[in-house]
Amino acid sequence: MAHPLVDQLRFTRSEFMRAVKGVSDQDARKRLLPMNCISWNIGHLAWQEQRYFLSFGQGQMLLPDINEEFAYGAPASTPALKDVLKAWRTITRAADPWLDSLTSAKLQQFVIHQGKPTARMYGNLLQRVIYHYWYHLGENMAIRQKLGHTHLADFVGNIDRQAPYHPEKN
Amino acid sequence: MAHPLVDQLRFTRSEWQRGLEGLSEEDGAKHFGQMNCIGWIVGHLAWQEQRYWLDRAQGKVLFPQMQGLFAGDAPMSTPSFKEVLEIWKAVTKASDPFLDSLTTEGLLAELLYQGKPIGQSLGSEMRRITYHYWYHTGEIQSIRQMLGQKNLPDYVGEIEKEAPYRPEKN
Repeated sequence: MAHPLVDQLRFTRSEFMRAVKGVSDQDARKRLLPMNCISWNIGHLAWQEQRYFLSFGQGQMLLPDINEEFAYGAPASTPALKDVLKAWRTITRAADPWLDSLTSAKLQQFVIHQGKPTARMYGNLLQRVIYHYWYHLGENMAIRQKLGHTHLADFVGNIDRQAPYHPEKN
Repeated sequence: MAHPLVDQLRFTRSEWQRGLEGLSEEDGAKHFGQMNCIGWIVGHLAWQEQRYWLDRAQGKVLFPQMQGLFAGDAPMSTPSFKEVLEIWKAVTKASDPFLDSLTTEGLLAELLYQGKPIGQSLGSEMRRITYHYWYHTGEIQSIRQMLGQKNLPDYVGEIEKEAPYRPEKN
């Protein structure tokens, strides 16, 4: 059984994907200035998962282009939806075995980056990514409303069934 | 010391408040098409905090009018941003002693609705509210960008300093 925070990350990922279900490539690439478009936001979360869980966690950089194009502070762009979804799926799938290995003890360790300890614990990386997803999920839904999409999903979804609270085992 | 999930809720509340800094009464009342205004969204989160932590958990209702005005399915309205922010502050302050009393065992308990269990634990609803805040923080920042506001905060903020990961004690 995965650590409870990993369960929460997986629930959050599924909610993030639920929010972009049915979005066309055309709409995903529309920018409501000065905001980024939905497809950029997907690339941005793929960037963060890769940075934290592949690079910081395992010293891997699977998709260097994602690291360049969707970093925090990277210039705005309007990537194809299918391309960023493919990258997101590749990265999240690659992160999963490492995520499955996490324990409360590991989550309290500080991240080593470029041979030096940082001020961030692995547990904070997980919490940061989860909240970042929800933040951009809200932004994506705001964009969809502004684009005139109707019958949109409600959030937060069924956490009681899909990711109910269970305490950590120490 | 509060339970780690309560720490995360409090960090999230503070991030939410950071996203409202500098907002005028006038801008808090602006609607973009089908979207709710920021004033309504603030009322909506106050409604949820009251519903879970005061009403369902303790049988207390400080602001009975909230149910009709700010429930998930309530009709669109344009409340005073300043007034709802004061209500939000009152509700969250009133819920704090209860939140401080929560333990891991307490979070596994059912949150009752009209005296009956409906499959929602206090721990699951703690996370639901936390994610709900982040979702609407993203939506609010989108609205503020569409309003042309500049120098908006970046998210996620200083979680490493303000709410570092710590494991639950069983």
